Amino acid sequence: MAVSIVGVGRHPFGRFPLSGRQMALIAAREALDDAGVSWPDIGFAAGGSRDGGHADALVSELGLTGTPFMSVYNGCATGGSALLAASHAIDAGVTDLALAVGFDKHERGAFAPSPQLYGLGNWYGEAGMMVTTQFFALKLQRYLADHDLDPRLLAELTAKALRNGARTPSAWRRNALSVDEIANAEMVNDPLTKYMFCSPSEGAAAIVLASPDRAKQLTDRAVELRAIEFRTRRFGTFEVFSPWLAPELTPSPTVDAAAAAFARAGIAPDEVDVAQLQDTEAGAELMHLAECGFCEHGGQAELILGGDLEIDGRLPVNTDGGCIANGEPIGASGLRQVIECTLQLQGRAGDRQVPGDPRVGFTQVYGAPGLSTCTVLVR
Amino acid sequence: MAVEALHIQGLVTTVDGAAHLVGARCDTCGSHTFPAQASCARCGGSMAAVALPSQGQVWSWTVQRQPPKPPYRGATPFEPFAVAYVDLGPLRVEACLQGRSVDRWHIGDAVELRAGPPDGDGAVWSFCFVPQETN
Repeated sequence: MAVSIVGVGRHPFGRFPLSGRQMALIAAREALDDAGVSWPDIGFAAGGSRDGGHADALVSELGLTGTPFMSVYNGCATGGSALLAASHAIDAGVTDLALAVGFDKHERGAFAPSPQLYGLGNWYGEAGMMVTTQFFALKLQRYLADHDLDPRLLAELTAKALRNGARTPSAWRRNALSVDEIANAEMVNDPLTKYMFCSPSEGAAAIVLASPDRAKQLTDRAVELRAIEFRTRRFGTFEVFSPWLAPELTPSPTVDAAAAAFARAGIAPDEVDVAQLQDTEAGAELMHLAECGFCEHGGQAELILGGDLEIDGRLPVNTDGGCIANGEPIGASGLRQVIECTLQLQGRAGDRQVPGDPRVGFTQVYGAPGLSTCTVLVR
Repeated sequence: MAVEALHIQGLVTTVDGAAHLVGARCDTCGSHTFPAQASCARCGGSMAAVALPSQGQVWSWTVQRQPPKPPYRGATPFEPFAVAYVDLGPLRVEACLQGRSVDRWHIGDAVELRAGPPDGDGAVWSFCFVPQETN
């Protein structure tokens, strides 16, 4: 793949008196400015939102230029799918400049979709099982037991997320908490306490992609999108809103997407200098470390307790505080990860900058209804 | 243990006086689902309804400590409840656990199905698993 990231823009994540669409326009214009281009230069755009409205409605304020604009509605992979479509357009030679944008504005509290939307009977919700946090806990409880991992590691990961969030101006949760405060807080779904979850939030993110030739004309700090791979669940994976599971577990779509991204990029996990992993709750980051190939299953304790995942560690993970500190505007969340890695590789990450001139970044988004998008970024 | 169950409206049926969840088994690859569905999640083959085993082991569990949003129809005021995947052999089913205090469950606990009351049409929609030793 020969695609370069030449501009990034982000509206902060949190709660704001703006519509999702207004935040998307701010992020898109910031990304265009960052790339030194204007909207009429864009030959292809893709964007999406779960609750914030139609992405292609943005053109009525960006400018009605006739540009092909693909609206994406793809669960937690919405941002990643928009980036995939935009990168394919460049890779296919359709255009030499493309925009990916994602935004959202969710109601407060846990997502509560209708069972029918997932092909389930109403009985499933009536029984009290249409609850995302419950799924995270059920998956994690078994994982901790299978791999002999201490639940206190979840509080350690949450404390790291909040520490990094405190150093990130665009983050939502900016107050660090101690491991004890997190571990001893109100239990929501055992073994997860209230601080260990990310919350639905609001925000927007946008990325301008260019062909390598165009990128050279525009900037000397382009980051190469070396690989982007999207996978959905196979038979036997353990996903949200499942009244039943197969008797043998199949590896998660993250395992497939991460392996494909590393293979396409020709890069191994141990070459990654900075990574952003989906941490819908602390257990997700724990599991994804192994699913992406950064350690063996059960090997997470050594990485966490050894400080390897800190900003000054061997493999800094979720340097902007991840979903736990930023919340999750679904449409924007996957793009936030790519933007954070881009800023880190460009040396533009401010107080949270990873030292040592990082060269290789990795991102992984995972979510409903069982899908994952992973990228490998190289400067 | 095949049953003439595709016409059954509820999730639970009775075989020889004992309650069973109604699942489906693929005619081609043998995979099971719950609830019953017409075609297989693994291979797309046609499926037939079957009564699933009614005893199994807790495979994973958690406690729901905050009230779920609608359409939840539980006790008022809300009472925390335990939820599990129960390993029945051919598949694992998700269900609430009862008959023991919510935080006293462990992976591997032996449990069995208990059916809820039938609705006006005689269809049973609610079910839970309880410890085998209490029955």
